[in-house]
Amino acid sequence: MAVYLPGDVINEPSSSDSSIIGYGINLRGEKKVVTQPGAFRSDEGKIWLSVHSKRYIPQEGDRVIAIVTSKTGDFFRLDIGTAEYAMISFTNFEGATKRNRPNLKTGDIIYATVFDTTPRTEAELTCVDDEKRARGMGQLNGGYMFKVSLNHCRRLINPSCEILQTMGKFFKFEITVGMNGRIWVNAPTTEEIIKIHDVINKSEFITGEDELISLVQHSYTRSVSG
Amino acid sequence: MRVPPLTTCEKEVILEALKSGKRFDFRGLEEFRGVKLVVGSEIGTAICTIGNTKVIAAVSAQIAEPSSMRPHKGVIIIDVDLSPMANVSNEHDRLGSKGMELIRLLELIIRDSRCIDVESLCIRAGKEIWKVRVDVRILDEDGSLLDCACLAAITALQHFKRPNVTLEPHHTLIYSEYEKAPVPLNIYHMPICTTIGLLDKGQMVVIDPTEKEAACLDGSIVVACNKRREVCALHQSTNLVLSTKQIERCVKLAMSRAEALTAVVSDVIKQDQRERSAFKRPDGFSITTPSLILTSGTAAARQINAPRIQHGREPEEKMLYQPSVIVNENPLSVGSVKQEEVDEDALIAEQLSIIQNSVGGVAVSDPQSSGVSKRKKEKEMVDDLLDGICDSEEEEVKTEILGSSEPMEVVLPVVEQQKDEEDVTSWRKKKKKV
Repeated sequence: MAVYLPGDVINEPSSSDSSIIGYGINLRGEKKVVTQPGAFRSDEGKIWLSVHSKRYIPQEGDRVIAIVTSKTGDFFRLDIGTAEYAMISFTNFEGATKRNRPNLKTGDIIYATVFDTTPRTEAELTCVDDEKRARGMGQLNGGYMFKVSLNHCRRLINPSCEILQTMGKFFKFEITVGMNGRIWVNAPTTEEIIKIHDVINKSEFITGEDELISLVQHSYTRSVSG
Repeated sequence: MRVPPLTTCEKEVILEALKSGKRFDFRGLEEFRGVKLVVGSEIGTAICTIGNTKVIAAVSAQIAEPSSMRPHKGVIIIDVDLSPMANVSNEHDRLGSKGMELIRLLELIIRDSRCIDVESLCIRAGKEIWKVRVDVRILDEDGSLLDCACLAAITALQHFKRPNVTLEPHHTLIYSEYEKAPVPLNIYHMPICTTIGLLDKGQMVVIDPTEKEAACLDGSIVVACNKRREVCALHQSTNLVLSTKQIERCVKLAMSRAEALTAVVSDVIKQDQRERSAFKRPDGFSITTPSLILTSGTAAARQINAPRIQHGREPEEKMLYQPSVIVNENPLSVGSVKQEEVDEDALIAEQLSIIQNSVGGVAVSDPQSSGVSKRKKEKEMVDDLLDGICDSEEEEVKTEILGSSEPMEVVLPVVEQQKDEEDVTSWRKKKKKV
């Protein structure tokens, strides 16, 4: 495993036949230049960097959780944790037409895909796929949203990650993980939301399975008030 | 840059939780976060941490000319800078409304409450005075910013020592610390700030709110007071109409907090002085660096692993062996009966018996002296003892002086304190009658 810093050029043998270039790497001509500091990863023609950061940089195809900040003309202005605002068109919602506009207010959150990240413009988001289907995207109602590091987010949605499965044995909850480091959870009671929030925050630096189970168990039995 | 806006769902959940007495950090509504206070190896520096809020303060002094209005008074200048590292919306050298509020309140609390004797800072009236500068830097923000900044500034001022000077007919001699021992500032009292969040138009109070909680609350009230139960400043952030009863309640909460934190500050300073007088090299801020060193995991490429932690030693545990750090946990939660309190009672009883024995012993050993002088002596003795009791009894909170081999603190609840005093005074009266 190699660690790269921004500006480095990747010379790994496994990167020569890679067709998919992922997070933290940019293609400049023939060279693969690193844009973020992180550990090099490669897998079946894919290369990316595993970066520990808190600030999100938009990438096409990422599913993110966005906060509606204002309405401007035919667009909603959204906050996705980047330096600039992102936009979403009224028509990019399932079942939306020129007449039938989605009813979103300032402070609402939506789960959407980044589909346009042209440099020097605001990123554009969509809540529908190519077939105009929502497929789970759209407004998130109720629940609680909080922020963790991007690395932790990627770990949570990894199928081989045990955290959510272990938590599922104790809690009944709904979760949405955005690649921009935001997590939305919903549970029947506030107390459970608080406990889940606590477990997710604390599980970031836990790798052992036993440790994880004891953490979840501890949170499950712990009383919230006082 | 801007801060991410507060979403409706967050606000709803936080408010709902608060109204049912729950908080996201598992605290009660009237529970404070732990306070960590560290003084630096440099004289006059301190870092204060409350939860995630972190503030560093540094005090320096220089000789300047006084203003013509106050020719025999020193000057105290407070400088605040909000670092963008603390909150993305902050900018260097631009305070904004939040920063202005902070600096005005700090000036009000530290300078206008006259806790520092500015007259002793005068070297030559109308010509030379000491200009004391307090630099406050916000390193991390998570609510209760003023509490943290005030505590850091007060600790730094307590820790600070100005160079010694002597006056010659035509010039002033300034000594380095190797020639003549530096002089500490004359501090009359320590104002301690407490932020209290208000909910439901002031019907409910949320103590020590975090940044997110503060954003959801109706407003907050800041009370600065000292351990002598004097209110130094009162500030309300929003134009909420509060009843006298509500304000009184807030002040009462702030007073118990002030007593607790004053003890912590004086402990930290005393510990540091003890070490310095023993020519031990002070650890300074090196102990605040976390022992968690993040490295990327060495897992296979498919497994995106969280960064591993190098478990050298637990950070909390590491703190325990460091001198001049005091971890002060939830001063208000002392109310419940615990094993510690049972021990405390035993300790009090022991102390009381020691006092009585010792006083009695002295009285017996001095039978020749006349009645009047005897009484005088007794009075002095009892006064000394009372002072001693008062000193030790300030530490209402469970404070740990870390690094010392024996348990240093004497933990006494307030009620007992009064009882003790009564005991001693009644005993004293009895003596007088005899």
